[in-house]
Amino acid sequence: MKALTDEHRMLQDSIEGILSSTSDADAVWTQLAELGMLGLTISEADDGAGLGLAELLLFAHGFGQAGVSTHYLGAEILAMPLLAAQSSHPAVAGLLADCVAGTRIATLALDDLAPVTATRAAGGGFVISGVKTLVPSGSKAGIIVLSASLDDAPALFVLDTETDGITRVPYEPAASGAGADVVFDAVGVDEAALLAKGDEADRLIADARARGLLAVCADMLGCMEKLLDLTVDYLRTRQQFGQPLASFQVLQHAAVDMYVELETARAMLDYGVRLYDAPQNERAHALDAVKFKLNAAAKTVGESAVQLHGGIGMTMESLTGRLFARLTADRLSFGDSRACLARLVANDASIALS
Amino acid sequence: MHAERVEKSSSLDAFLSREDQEFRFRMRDFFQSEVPSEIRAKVSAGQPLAKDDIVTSQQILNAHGLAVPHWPVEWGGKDWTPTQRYLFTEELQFNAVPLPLQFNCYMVGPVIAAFGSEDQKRKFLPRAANCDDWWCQGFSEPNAGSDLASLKTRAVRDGDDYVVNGQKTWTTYGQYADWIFCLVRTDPDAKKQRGISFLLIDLNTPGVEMRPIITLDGRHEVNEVFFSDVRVPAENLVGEENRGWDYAKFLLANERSGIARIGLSKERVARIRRRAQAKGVWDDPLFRAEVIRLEVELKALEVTQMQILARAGQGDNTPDPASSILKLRGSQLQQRASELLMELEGPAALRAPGDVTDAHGAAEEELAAAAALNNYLNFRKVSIYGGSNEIQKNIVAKTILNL
Ligand SMILES: Cc1cc2nc3c(=O)[nH]c(=O)nc-3n(C[C@H](O)[C@H](O)[C@H](O)COP(=O)(O)OP(=O)(O)OC[C@H]3O[C@@H](n4cnc5c(N)ncnc54)[C@H](O)[C@@H]3O)c2cc1C
Repeated sequence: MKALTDEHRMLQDSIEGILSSTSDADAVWTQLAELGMLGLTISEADDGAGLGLAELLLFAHGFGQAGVSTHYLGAEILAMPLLAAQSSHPAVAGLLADCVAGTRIATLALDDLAPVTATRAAGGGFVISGVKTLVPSGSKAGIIVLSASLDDAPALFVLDTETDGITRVPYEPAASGAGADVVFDAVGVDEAALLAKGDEADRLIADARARGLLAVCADMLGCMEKLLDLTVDYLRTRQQFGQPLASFQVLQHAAVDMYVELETARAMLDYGVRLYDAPQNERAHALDAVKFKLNAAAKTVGESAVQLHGGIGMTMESLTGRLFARLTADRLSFGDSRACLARLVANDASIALS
Repeated sequence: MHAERVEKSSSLDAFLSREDQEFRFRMRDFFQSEVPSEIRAKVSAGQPLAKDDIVTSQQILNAHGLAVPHWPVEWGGKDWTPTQRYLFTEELQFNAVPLPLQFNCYMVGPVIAAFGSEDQKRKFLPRAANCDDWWCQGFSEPNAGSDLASLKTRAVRDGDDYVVNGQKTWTTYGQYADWIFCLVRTDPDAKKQRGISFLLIDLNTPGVEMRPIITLDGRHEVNEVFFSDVRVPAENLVGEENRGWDYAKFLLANERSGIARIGLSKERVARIRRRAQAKGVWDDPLFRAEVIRLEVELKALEVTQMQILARAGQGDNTPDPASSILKLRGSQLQQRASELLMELEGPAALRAPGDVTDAHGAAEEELAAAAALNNYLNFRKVSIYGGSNEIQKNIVAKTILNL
């Protein structure tokens, strides 16, 4: 994204190496684990690599470029840093090491389809009921961290997905990387499953949402870069009317518009990454603007890439088509334009003047 | 009964005579009472239609003499004015009735009726009108898209047959089809457009292979068709050899009527309003503003269309220059409607549950939400096929603005 350090370049090379050998989500995951590339943000004391958000986003970006689905969002971006932040919690001990080794996949469930609540059970522990939706890797994960309301305040729980009373409803593979709804039907858990509550839970959730948003944006940037490359190559090689498409000025200009959107989106993402450590309100406001911009860029870049490819861009067998579908799904993830805009409009603070 | 409804009808009726208004309501009543509501519900929920849905619906129309109203009367057509034809299609689309199979009714049918032999007319037209034969269109090739005239599929005369070799692609619903109408090159030495013929090929002939192409919405809608030494009786040539380009131009002009798909966009707007209200999104003035923008443009296009029709009723037969913008603007509005449908569903559009009879009900909601994303992806096609937006603009620039 911005100027790369040598370390970033090495990471990028390893990502490319993995993705050139396989595109299967589970296989990619195994390779990442074998190469010690999971748990990058987990501290070295907890068997992690002790790296930062920027490195995580490098991966998200690489997966976007290649159009490969992984468990990255659910596990590495959302759940594992959250678990790592609570590493001294008794329920987390042991889990993190498994996650880093790739033997278990963790995910984080934030959105409710039907309100998810936890009530205290008579003999200790809790009973959780409700339905979570849009859970990334929800159909594959072995560990699920979920938000639930407890005593009318936010709380986070960590559960094994094999626990009695949990049903998973996977989405069609076409829709999104192993996503699912997860139904909790009076699931009994013991006291230790409670990871955090109140303000602490609030903060962990807000951080996770911010990471999710930035990771989706990095994925989008990767998709858009690749789409522009593919489109420019196609314009040079595809011939109609006895000349390359690139000779039609209207198509050149469309490609330029894609490029302008791509570069301004790249800058906006950089702005978002810098604001990750800002106070929560300020960050949330800025990230709405970031996602809104990335969504707008994705529309232009994605739609033009397909249009300029003609029919071939409409197909699943073309990478252009697949990246466009992925980019469109990304437009709706962690802040669709309608939601971002509604919040931006409701907030008096100026984005441009701040 | 109709008189009262006419009073309350839309502002657009200022452009319509009382007879035309009556006509519109007759059609509306017919579509609502005769076409099965399950089929119409599928259309208005954005669900993919099965082959049977399309056939059933067309056969109902045909039984009432309404599948091919724009054909010559002796082959089942109606002696309607251009306005009536338009109102028919608009009401059909607005009431979520599947369009009679385009390839049969708007493409090969009119070409055979105009240029085919008597034998061809008798053999093909009644079956096309009733969807007893399912036709598909074999024009595009991998290297002949916008530049259709560069097509290479060869047909060589050998005794009483043509022998066809080559490849067609993007063949919509080829997997359902019995017949394909093809543009083939019969004279490789003539100038591009001159050496092309219009040939009808039975898809059951040895040497024809079909391969599916899966589109972005995960569906099988288009195909590649390969021909190797396919023997086609010479009697299946339409009109004269090497005149195929003229027939294709006639076909495309025919296809353009109703290409603005105003009824379809109106149906989408109704769907947007319905879903937005059901989801509480209609309370969001920002979203409403976007819908209104679309509606204003749709109204402007509709009035444009009505005026073109009114002029066409009056006079000479030269094509109205304004009609060349119908496809372009119509595509833009269809795409915008599909995008708004997706935006109103929001992230819920990402949920496409594998098992629809799922644990927690609300299957219809989920279907509508999942269909929204797929429709958005799928509708990118309308600015590509039937002459892309860029090609449409080239035509307007050249033929209307004389640039
Ligand atoms: C879903 C779908 C269904 C279809 N169904 C059928 C069918 O049933 N039968 C059939 O025969 N065909 C069908 N088509 C094919 C369709 O007609 C072609 O896709 C269309 O003609 C465009 O050709 P192409 O895809 O090869 O794109 P290209 O012609 O390669 O165009 C690529 C891009 O270049 C642009 N371009 C090309 N030439 C120019 C120029 N001179 N100036 C400016 N820009 C230019 C185009 O606008 C486009 O943006 C279908 C296509 C789709 C996507």
